[in-house]
Amino acid sequence: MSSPSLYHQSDTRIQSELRIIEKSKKNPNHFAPLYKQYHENIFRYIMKRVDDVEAAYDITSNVFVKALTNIHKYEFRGVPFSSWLFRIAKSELYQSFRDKKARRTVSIDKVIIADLFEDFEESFNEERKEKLMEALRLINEKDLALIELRYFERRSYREIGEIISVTENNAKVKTFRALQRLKKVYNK
Amino acid sequence: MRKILFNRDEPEAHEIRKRQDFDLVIKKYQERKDYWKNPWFYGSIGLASLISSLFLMSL
Repeated sequence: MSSPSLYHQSDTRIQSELRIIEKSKKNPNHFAPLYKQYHENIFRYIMKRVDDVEAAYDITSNVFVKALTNIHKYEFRGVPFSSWLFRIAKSELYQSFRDKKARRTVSIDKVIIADLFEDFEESFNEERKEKLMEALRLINEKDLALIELRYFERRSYREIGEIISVTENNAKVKTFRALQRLKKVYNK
Repeated sequence: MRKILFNRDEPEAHEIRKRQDFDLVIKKYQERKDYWKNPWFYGSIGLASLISSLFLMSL
C-alpha cells in the first residue's frame, strides 16, 4: 500500500504548518496536529526499511521525539517540514541499524518491480526477480536508498533532493548513476 | 546482509492511526530534556574530565 502524498502543499497549508511549528517551539503540546498529519507517512517510510513492525513503530515514535527536541532549530528555507522529518527518520533508521535494534530490509512489490524491469528493457519473470533481489543485496547503501526513494516509493527528484540534502538536478543525476550501477550488478 | 521482502503485507491506515500515541512522544521528549538538564549528568562529565586531565598531567 502506498502512503498518502503530503509533499505537494499549498501556500496556505505551509503557512498554517509554520504557525504550528512556532507555537510548538514554545509549548511542545502544540505539535500534536503535525504528529497526526505525518505519523503514517513516516511510519510507512520506516516500515519499508525494517523487517519488524514493532521496531518500525518504535523508530517512528523516536523520530517525533527527536523532531520535538530539535524543533527550535527548524527554520523554513523553502524545504517543506515533511522533508525535514524524513531526514530525521533517515538518521534514526540508520542509528537503529547500528544499535542492532532493526534489520535493514528492502520492501518491493510486484507492480513497482515490473516498472523497474521496463527501465531494464526486460520483461518480468521469476528468475529475473531473483536476480534483481540478489543485485539489491549487493549494491551500496547510498545507491539503494536512491532506488528505493525513486523507484519503489515514486518520489519526485525535488523531494529526493530535499531528503538527501542535494539539489533537484543533483538528485536526478545521482539516481540515474545509481540505476546504472544496479543494472551493472544485475547483468554480471 | 539485507533482507529483501517481496509483496509484503503492510498495516492498514486505520491500524497505523490506532498506534498513534502523542502522549508517549511528549513523555519521551520530557525525559530527554530532563536528562540533559540533570546536574548529575554535567557533574559526571566534569568529574570524568578532571580525572582525564589529572591522568594526562601525571604522564
